[in-house]
Amino acid sequence: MSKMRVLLIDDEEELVTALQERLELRNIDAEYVLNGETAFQRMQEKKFDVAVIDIMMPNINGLEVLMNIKTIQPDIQAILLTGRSDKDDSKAALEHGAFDYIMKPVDINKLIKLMKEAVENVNDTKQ
Amino acid sequence: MIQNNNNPNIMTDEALHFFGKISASVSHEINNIINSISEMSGLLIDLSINAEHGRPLDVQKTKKHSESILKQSQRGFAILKRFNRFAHGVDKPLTTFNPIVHIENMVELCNRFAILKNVKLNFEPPKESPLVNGNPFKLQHAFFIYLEAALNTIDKNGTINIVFDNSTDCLKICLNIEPIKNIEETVMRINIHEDILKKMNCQACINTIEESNTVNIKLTFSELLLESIEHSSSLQNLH
Repeated sequence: MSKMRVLLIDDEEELVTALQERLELRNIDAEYVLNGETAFQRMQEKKFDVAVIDIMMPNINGLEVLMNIKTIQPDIQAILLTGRSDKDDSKAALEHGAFDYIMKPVDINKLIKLMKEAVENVNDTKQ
Repeated sequence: MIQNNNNPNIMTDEALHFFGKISASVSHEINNIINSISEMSGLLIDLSINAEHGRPLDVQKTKKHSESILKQSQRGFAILKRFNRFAHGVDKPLTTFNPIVHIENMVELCNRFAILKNVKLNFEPPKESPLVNGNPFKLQHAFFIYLEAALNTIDKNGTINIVFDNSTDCLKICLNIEPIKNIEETVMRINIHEDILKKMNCQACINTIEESNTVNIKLTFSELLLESIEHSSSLQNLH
């Protein structure tokens, strides 16, 4: 079975590099970028199964990134990261077509479970 | 503290709103720091578990992540120090303070708002540190009102320069904002707050330069009289 390909999009560099390494240690093909523009470029070059996107980023926020990546790779599944405990961000994420959202701090096992569910969701839809 | 006419111990809604905005922004920043520390600690645990199972421990990588944890902790302490200074601004309605320290602190606290809009804040502290008698919280609040109006109307990749004018008896701060998407909107957003700013004895002189899409705002705090530099030099550490 091929490795799951994940693109992490978050401007907090130390957080996202650590998360990327932790996913790699769990046999997931994870890459990271620090902003939406780089994400769009990278997605032109490589196909990803899942994008994990921080909602609050400078310049292009997570919801805008989500809408744009769906036009580049319509099959991609998105999981949004939110630091806020209110429901506004999560509701907006789902309304904009995210598979799901997860609160920071990230529980890595919960994130991986969500990513697997997201990929299975695509496979079920295709079948 | 901004005082209500009937009860001097109650903050006005506007002042509470301002205090809440700064507190929420700081809590987001602290949250980001804790998240980074949490993720890096998690990684160090993962690497330790792997080492227990015989996988060689990469010492350089371990050192790098440990240093990152230290760096994030220091970033957190710096933010908390700034927030603490800001919060103590409400302690005494009338005190002697260095306005540069408080404005510099506000610029640092508001930097996150600027980063989210891709805007650069430049603060040029004067060589001489004046002292004023007055309410530091009022100064911070008035400054924030103008900075927020500027941030809401400035173009992406714009710059806001903040400069002190030491040439007069009372405190004057200039904000130079460029480029502005909509000069009329900026002026309108500033004028909305006229009544609140009057209560703080703050007046704004707005100068627009349409050719360069620039707005210059000169804030005059008529109640904050600058003490002589000779006097203030011995009291520079008063905040």
